Amino acid sequence: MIEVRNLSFAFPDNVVFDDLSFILNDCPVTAFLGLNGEGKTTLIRLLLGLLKPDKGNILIDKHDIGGLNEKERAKLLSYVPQENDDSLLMSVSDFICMGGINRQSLFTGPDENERRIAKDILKELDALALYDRKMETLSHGQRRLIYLARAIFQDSRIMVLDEPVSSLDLVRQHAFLKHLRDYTQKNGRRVLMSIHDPSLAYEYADAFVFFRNHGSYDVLYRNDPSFKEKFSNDISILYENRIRPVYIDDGVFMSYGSEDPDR
Amino acid sequence: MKTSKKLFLTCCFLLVCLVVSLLSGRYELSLHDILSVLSGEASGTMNANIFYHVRLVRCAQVALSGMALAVSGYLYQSCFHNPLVSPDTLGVSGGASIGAIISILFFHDGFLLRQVLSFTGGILAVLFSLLLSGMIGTGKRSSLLLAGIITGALANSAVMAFKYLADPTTQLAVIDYWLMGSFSLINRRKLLSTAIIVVPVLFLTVLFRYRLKALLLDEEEAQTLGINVRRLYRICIALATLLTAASVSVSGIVSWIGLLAPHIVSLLFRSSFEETLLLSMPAGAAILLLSDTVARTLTGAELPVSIITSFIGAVVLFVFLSVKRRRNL
Repeated sequence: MIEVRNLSFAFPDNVVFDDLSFILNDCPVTAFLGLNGEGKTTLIRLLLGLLKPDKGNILIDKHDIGGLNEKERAKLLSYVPQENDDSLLMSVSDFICMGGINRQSLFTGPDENERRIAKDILKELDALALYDRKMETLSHGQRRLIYLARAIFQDSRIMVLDEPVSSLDLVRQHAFLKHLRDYTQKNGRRVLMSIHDPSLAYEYADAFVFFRNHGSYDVLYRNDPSFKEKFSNDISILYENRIRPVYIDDGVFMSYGSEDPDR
Repeated sequence: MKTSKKLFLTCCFLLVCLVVSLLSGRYELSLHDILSVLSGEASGTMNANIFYHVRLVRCAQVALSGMALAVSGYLYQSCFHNPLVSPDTLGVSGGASIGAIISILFFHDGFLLRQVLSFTGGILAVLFSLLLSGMIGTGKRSSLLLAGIITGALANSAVMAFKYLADPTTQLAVIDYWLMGSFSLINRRKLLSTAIIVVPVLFLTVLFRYRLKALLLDEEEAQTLGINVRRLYRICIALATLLTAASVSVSGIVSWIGLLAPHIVSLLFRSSFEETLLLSMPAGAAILLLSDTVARTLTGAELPVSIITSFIGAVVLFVFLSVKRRRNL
């Protein structure tokens, strides 16, 4: 369970959260939905302890994350950041094994067993061919997968992803999110991600946190009896009635424009 | 190519440089002379004295300094994610220069004192940088770099002021010579005092290479992997600073080795972090041995070694970058 209590945070010239509170029950996949600049990335960085809140606190499974050191936090949370070109000077295999650096001996680095685990993870992600490559030679889509592999290798209770699929093509977006869902089902781990496409979120997430005006206005679960109705309502609040969900079979299509009945 | 093969090749090159360096000098020693000295036949002779007390001590010191500067440079480059930073990014050389100049100006040049003061000066300058970085930022990578630039500027200003005050007929030349580096005044005591610091620090660096590899990661990513990033940077800076301060305090400023060795190694062998760290040692030793040999044989007098290392640095960097560019095209 994630509990955000009276959280306030401001950058020098920008108040991001003022007294934000919400509770999120355990779900395999949770999606953070909100427009640009509503503080999704900031909240993720606060969750990870990369930023310190001005006021309030965040409890994850009853641990106040402000009171944990890096090691303890890394056991609780792993992180797949947005596109990052700053840590690419190593092989894919070494990069993945960095996810377990605190489990490894100080002097010898990852052992045979850990290398094998890294290989198995890549196999699951259909990316075994990348094992011996160097990070800097990979495409964006391939790098996303390797970041995912490292987070899986880290084996924390909750994986936090910041816009993991926004730079991928449509096929790779679905492949990535499927891998993510498979991972939660196989390992009983939880995933928390920010995502821009509500139809992708609808398809793959079990819980939704909606952000607007620097606050969260709803936490919605898929098993809610009137889920579709509430989801439609939340979407129209999110996009100020400019986007209307149209449900087709199991999916949802986001329609933009003047047909909006409320206009 | 396997790591062991890369290491073997680099060590072969080092051996060649070492032999060339041992053979050359004002006093003539042929390979045959050296072999007879080594086998003990020529003990007590002039040849043996020159070999053991002068040539070998100097070569050992040069090799040790080369290793120290190369590894130190690579540690700094990894720490700052910047291939162009050198061992004096945080002001080690500036601080060491101030220490050495103070001993030259005010203490009439006791050699031991000069070494102690310049070593201390180097360490203090880096501590000052760390302190500054805490005041201008959060002690993270970028603020460290900026603090290093400020410290460097301050040290440079002090060095210039001291040079302005120095007696131009006597002291100024000594200061300038120190600032260009030279191994001409090496003796066993200096070698020993360098080795006491450099050897264990190099050993620790190689031992902890897998931990130090995390330096290559983005700062925040490393933090979320459970790494205490600030401690990691501090350790890296401590290791690199000890290496540079220990070698600069006996030889004066030797430039470019910290940039050249790791770059040559990683361009030639496309080596990983651990490999570059290992291979930089023989490579740095070899390059500095060559430079020192040229410095003491090119003319009748001893040339300061930084004249040679800077020249080699410029040529080698140009050649490598143009070859690299052609390969990419």
